[in-house]
Amino acid sequence: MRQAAEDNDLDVLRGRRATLILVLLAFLLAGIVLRPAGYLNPIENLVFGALAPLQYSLGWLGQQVSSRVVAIRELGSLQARNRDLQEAVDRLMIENVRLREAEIERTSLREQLHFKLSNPTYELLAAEVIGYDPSNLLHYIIIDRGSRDGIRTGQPVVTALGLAGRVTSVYVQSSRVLLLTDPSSSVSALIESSRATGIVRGQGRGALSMGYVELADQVQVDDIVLTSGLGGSLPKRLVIGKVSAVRRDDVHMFQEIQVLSAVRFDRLESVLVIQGFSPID
Amino acid sequence: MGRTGPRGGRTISTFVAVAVLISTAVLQTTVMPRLALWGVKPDLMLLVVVSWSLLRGAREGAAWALGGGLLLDLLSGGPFGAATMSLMLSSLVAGLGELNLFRGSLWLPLAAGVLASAVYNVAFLLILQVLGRPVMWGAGLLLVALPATALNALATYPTYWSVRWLHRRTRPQTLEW
Repeated sequence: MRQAAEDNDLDVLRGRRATLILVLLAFLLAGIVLRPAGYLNPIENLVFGALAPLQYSLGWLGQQVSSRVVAIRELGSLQARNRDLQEAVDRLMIENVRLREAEIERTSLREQLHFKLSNPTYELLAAEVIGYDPSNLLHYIIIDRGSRDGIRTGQPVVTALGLAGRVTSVYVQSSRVLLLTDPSSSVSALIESSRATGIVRGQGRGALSMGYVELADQVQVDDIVLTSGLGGSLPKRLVIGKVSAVRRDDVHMFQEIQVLSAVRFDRLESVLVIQGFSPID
Repeated sequence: MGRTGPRGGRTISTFVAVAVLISTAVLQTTVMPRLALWGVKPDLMLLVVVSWSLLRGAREGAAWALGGGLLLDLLSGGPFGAATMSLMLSSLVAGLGELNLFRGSLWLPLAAGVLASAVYNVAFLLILQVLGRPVMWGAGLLLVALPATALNALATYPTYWSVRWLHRRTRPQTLEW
């Protein structure tokens, strides 16, 4: 009895399954026939409309998981790549600094060469600035050339931009140079256009003034100031700077002239010592 | 590094002091000009001496001022002794800070640095004047002494902390019962 009931249920189940398969097969056949004509579109729309959000969510989730997995998998190689890139950046930075320094040096040497070519009569010796005076109130530099290089006291020191100073002390391997800007520095000078003579003195902090220029002498702003060679302590016609201001009044016997040098006295890195000149002191 | 002092404490080795002063003098003539601001460079030796005076008192400060000043005079083109005398005077002023009631105050190094800088520059100008060098008092005070004092004020704490590190490693050890 019980066996008969179970057989009956099984038959029913088989019958339903067969029906479902038949329906699906019929749907398949109908689909094959109807789809090209577009009759399945409403059903397809319904299915896609219902599944699209789910697809989107699952797709996004899959993407996230996949990217995390890739990231974790590549973590080791990314760290190595990051390290390589950092090393490359460091290397390039050092290279960049080196090239920039080389460019500055080349510019300086080109200027010095230009000065040498335009002053063929001078015997010039290039020197590097290796130190500055420790005091803010004194204006000296130390250069890396000394008596073994033929440096002597009093020799003029120039840059491509003009006169920088004079050698005041000579040691075996180095020398001390008094810069034009030191208040104790004085140089016989003349105005290029009017030939008016005077004395250029240092005012500290890169400033120069020219005194003892007679009131009758014509001096204009932007006139070039050169060494006059008077006194024999410096050669003639070395550029000192140009006139930046002129003050004349009836109270004083002389004009007071401000001179601006193109030399950056606080940023000197290399200079030229004029060796072929013997100062008379 | 240290040796036993007269009161049983450990004092800084002369060799260390000389090494510090020589390094400071070299830095003063080579690196400090590259750190110039407002047209002046920091007076590193002055700040080191002032810091040492504050930490160890006027007596040790004066010794450092003497050594440091002589080194600066050797490296300078100015009249010999100008830096030494100015530095000793400054260290004396700073050393007074070590004795006063405000010892230990956070502001003391700054106040001492500013005061010592002003004293140093004015004394230097006076010495130049006395020794017959041309001195531009207006430019010297306004364009050099004033900005130098301001710049030294900025550099006071980094220098003071560095010197204090050395002081802590070498300070006298005294036994108390």
